[in-house]
Amino acid sequence: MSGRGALLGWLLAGYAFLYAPIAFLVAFSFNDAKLVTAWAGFSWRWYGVLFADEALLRAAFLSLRIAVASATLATVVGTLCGVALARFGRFRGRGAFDAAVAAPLVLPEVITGLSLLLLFVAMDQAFGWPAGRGALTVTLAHASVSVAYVAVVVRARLAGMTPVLEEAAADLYAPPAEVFRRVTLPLLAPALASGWLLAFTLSLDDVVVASFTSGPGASTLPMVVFSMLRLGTTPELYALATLIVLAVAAILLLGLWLQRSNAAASGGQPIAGGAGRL
Amino acid sequence: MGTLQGRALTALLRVEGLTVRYGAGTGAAVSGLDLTVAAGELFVLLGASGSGKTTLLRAVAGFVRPDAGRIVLDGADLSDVPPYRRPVNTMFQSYALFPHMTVAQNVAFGLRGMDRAARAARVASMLDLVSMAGFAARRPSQLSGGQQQRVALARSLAPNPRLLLLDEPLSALDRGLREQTREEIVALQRRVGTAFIVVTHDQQEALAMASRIGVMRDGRLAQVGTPAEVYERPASRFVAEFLGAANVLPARLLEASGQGTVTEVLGVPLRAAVPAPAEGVAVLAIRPERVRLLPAGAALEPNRLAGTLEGSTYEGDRLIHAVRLADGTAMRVSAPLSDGLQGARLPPGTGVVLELPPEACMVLAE
Amino acid sequence: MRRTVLALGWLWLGLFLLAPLAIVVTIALSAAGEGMPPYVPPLQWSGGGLKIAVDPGPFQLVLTDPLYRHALAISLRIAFVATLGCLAIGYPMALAIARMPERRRNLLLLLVMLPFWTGFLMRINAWIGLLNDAGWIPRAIAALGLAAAPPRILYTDTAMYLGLVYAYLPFMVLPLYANLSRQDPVLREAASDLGAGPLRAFLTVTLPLSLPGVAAGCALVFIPSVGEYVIPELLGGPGAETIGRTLWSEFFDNRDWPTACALATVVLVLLLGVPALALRAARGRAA
Repeated sequence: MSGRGALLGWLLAGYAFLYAPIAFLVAFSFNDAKLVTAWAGFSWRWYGVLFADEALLRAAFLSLRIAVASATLATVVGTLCGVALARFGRFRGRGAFDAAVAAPLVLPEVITGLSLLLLFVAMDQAFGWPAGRGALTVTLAHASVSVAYVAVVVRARLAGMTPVLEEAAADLYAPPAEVFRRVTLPLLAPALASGWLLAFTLSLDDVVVASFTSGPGASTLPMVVFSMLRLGTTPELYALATLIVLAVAAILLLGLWLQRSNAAASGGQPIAGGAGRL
Repeated sequence: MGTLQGRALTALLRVEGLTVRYGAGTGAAVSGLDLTVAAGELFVLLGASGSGKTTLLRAVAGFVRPDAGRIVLDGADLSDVPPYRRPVNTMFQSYALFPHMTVAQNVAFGLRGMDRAARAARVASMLDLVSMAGFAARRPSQLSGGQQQRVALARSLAPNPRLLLLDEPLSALDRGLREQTREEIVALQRRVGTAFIVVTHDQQEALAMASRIGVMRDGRLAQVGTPAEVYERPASRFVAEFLGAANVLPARLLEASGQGTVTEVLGVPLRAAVPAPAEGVAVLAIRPERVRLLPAGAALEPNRLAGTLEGSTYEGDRLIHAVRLADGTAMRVSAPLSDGLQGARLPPGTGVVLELPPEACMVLAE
Repeated sequence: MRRTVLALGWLWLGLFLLAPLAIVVTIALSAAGEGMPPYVPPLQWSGGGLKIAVDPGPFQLVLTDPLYRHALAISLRIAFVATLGCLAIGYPMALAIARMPERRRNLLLLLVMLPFWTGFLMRINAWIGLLNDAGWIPRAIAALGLAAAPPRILYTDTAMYLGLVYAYLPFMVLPLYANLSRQDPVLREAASDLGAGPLRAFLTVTLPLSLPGVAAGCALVFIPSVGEYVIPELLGGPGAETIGRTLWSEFFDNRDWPTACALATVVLVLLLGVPALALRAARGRAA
């Protein structure tokens, strides 16, 4: 049918739109010219420039540290919030709690950044902690945004998981903390992994909140890249982008491979099918 | 039977050599099937899940493309006609009511090319027909299962199709409601006169509703006939066992003529009032309610077998006796209660004699 | 156990969500001042008494000065166009994926999400390279004869919209796909059975049933687009003075904290309060 064909064509065009810029980045990271407007032959020179750029590398290292720390913190807090929303039934202030957990999802970045900076300034004045702005404040700010994302992922996973398993554990004399540790948490593992990864990516990607909450000498990678892009573009950043694409592809393939071997180990059933088999 | 053959002359639907496969390399869901449905018939397709009955229905509706064969309605080949141009409507198993429309909007959906007033009148009369007149403004989610079923029926009948297909129309209903609705569907079909094809896996439903039943197995029709024909004169052991309980005994053919057949079962001659099947005889079958239970002292004439009562199960309106024959074959005897000795409870271990009346014996190919 | 978890949750939310927003509102009610922080707190202990110095000035300024109203109007317009663009491109994509065989769908959806993981700035970076005056796209437009000379695209609204649609497209496709793939295919069969061709079946069944997905996708694109700072800054022209850029420059360049905070408060109320009230009103009417 022609309607189906048109739909398929549109989908392919959509993918072309999404991937053409990425292909362009990768191709022109090997271009032997300062401009990216014409091909001037293959070269590794921009990778050389990239690895000689100490400011950029320092920023990248800082960003990774912040991303790991904030994602871990957000996963812990977000899991608590998600479990409360999915498993605690009705409790006083539930509606408000739900809204507050989800709020960062809809708050404009500039407002999140501004409000958190003002908080850190006020805390510094009142308690002297955190002293000044830097990696710590950016980490806390990123965690506070990512908690909402982790909570959503954890809650969705729990909602799709029958509470019967937890009830069975309780029936077999496990107190609540043990039920959580020995039943809920292992079943949640995939959600925790994807929540952590999401938080990690959000942190690595963020310019606005970091710009507000960071201080002198603690520029994250996106902050540095942003200030470079304000002046235009340079192939050095294309080389950086290519490395990121490679890293993402590697992580993705690893994830797929893990999932496949997991599925094989559990008798052909993907992890997600576990609850469904009851 | 005479009337049915008379009707068959005005064939409404002819399915010829229909074959449907789902994906290459898989077995055919329907293979080389022929079927004729007459105008005004209530034809029931009966089969277990996976027998191909729903596939056949979907092919007639136009949702699956046949790999071979033709579907002819009123003399016109429908094979290349999309579902939205076929004068055939379906009542879906899940009802498939549009959740975002009211009952009236649902019923009006198939009514196009009508002016407003005519459409409103048609919707009103259809809702009236299924006793849902007061529910026109409701949403499907505000209706009970039985009410949704009626709306689905009204919606599929509203465009006045030549043929209505009903996919397991009663399966989503509670047991109590099922019997009543079954009768309502039959009454409605008589009233509107549209030919219905009903798909079901429930033999009681099929026997109660159908003017003719097609029993499906492995993508083919195992037998087509009136309810009495398929129940009392099944064409095969499969059909006999699928349509209700049957005692099946190994049998050896002694004598066959146009009037009847004599077989030997466990050394006892058994006369059956039916001709033998074309192929070699393999089994003799009899329904539990046709077996008569006699006291142990009864004479062992032909058509009588001796056995031991193993136990009786109380089912309210009847007792089911489990009887073990001398060679170890298990027989079930269904006896209506309030029937003297037949219905009385006997202690397990009592010797009994089973009488298999010739007119109740079926001689079948294995 | 339950109590501890809830207490921890509330403590976190109180510290990192409610307190910061309360501080924003407080500063919005303060007069600008010298020093660090550059405002005069509205409540102060001085000489043993509580001194209240609420200054409505920042709010008055934000609500009356055409500069801010202009910024707000531009931001809403930009968000609206970007949302429409994402919907127009994303809806057919989501529909196409939802109509694919089930075993292919996850991979196709992953392909939509994948660019998101490769870094937002990096993709903007690619567009800067593609769209600049000597870039491939303006040259291609000229070469195709659509314009006499390579047109200026980078640092115009066109580039900004392109960037926004590009960045937010996955957020439109995801909820739409979730809705469309959950729709019971039997409903489309029923429509077809009742005489509706593919187009009518789409318009009367698929589309109306997908409206919650459309609403979710539009919200996911519209809300962040209103406050978007980076894309207008890197791709848009100087005229695209959005709320995000205005707030940024009030805060960082003018060091006018009370005005920035008043602006943030107004945007918050408009962006979250108004839809919430409208939703409540709509629900009240439905009940």
